[in-house]
Amino acid sequence: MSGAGASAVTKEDLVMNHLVRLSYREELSPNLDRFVDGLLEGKLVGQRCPSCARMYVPSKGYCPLCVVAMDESEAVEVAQVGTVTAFTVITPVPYYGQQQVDPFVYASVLLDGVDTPITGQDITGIPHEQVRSGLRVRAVWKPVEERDVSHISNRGWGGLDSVISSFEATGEPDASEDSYEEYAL
Amino acid sequence: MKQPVAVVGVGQTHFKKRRDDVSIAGLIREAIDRALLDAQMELSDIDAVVIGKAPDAFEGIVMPELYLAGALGAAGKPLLRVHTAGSVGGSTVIVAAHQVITGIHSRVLAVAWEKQSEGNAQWGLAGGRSRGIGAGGAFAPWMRAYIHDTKAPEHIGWQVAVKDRRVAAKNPYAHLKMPDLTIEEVSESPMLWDPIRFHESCPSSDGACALVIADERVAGSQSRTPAWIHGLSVRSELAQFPGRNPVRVRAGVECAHDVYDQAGITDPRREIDMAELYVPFSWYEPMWLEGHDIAGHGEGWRMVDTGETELGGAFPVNPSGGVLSTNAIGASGAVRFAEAALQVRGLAGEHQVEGARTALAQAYGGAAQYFAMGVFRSTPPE
Repeated sequence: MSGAGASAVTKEDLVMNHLVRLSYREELSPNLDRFVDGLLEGKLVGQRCPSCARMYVPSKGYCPLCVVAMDESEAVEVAQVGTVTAFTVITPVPYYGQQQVDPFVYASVLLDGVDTPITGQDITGIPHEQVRSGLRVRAVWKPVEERDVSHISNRGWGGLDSVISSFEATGEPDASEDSYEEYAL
Repeated sequence: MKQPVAVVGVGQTHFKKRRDDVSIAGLIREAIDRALLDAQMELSDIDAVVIGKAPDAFEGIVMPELYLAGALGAAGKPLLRVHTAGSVGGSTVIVAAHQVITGIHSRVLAVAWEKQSEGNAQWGLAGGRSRGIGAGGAFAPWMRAYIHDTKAPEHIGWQVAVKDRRVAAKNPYAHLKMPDLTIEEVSESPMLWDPIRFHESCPSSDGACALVIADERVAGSQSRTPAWIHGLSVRSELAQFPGRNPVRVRAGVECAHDVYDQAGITDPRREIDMAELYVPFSWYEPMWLEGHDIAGHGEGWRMVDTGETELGGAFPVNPSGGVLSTNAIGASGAVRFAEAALQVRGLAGEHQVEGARTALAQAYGGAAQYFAMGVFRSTPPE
């Protein structure tokens, strides 16, 4: 009996296909939920620490420096204009899932009145070689129907490029270095 | 230090783009066997094993320690895995040393590795998403900030690349050996992540590194000179917070001063004979020289410029060829500690720094937020 069973096993049966999927449903934390609602309405919503008054966008729901929790009463809509504080131009490396083929700008933007630069932003309205620290920029929103916030999770908000397509040069004079050097990176 | 301890055995694999000739188990065993041979020990002499490697997504194998316990000789012994991103190799050595310093064990084996050809580190770093920037892209704005702040000329980065790739030809285990690489070739290589060009970026390697750390009694009876540990320190900080300076990282400054204090060092540039620093992208050599207060502000790139950090210079940095020549991520921090230990033991071969008595080892990781540092000497602590 066991002999018959063993002979029925073919080499093909010994190949293992590992396709594992785990699905989670998890509600966004209240601070991220407000941030995402804001994005869908074309607003950037942060939180101001009640202790040190630093403004966080997006907020983690607490100030990591003061270790103070922040709630809805600290939520504030912030400016959509800011300053490029640091940047590089990335040559995309190919890997499974990489769709980017051309070099792209990877810049940090410090929104006016905010203490946390938003990293990884594309800068438009100006050639790559003219992107610079101090450049004044404004958010360019995707049309409401194209905005996608599905990638934003409690374990990483994954960038803004599915909501804000880029930050575009405003044409204003550059910001002075001492206006952003404390928060340059 | 609670009790004097020393590195008595060092083993490395040959590092290559692909080590198709061995499995991960075979790779780590190659390093372990060399370390045990150096320490004149058998696996049965080892009391405990501490391992480290980068995130599992880089190799695509989850919790490899489960299947590697046999190859590590860890069956029936304590086995711990350490995880501090790119600095993990350094932290692994430190955790292993702590088990001896505290008197828990007499001989502990530290093993760190990465077999990067098994997976795709770029995919792992990007979490599978598009627009991944890799480590080079993440660090590039900080290197630009350093250049802007110190007014360093652009050839400094090229010079570090030439120095490390050329000297790697003297290291039998190094991955990229380019004894004839020129400044022109580096400066004309493709720009990857401004300011980093192709030849200024670390490779992706397969390889492993093992160290045997022993107590004073065992170390004192070795026929080969041990590398005595005079200071060990780890520090970390948040990846992002308002006002963070990722160029002169506070955790890096404090980690350095902690090991200097333990080793009684007040003037690191004069009192340390050589350093193995974690330099995956050329500009990090001057950045860490300044970020660990070996050089003053704007002096780091001048040390590079004048040839002070060359093998044969007043303060040689990475005579092994460094991470720029060999980067099996998890192993890279451990290699810094292993190479520093070899130097004070006088066993570094062709890339030996003449008269090295005090050596500094450093590894960093994450968003330049984890640090692991050590000071080795050829003589035991007093």
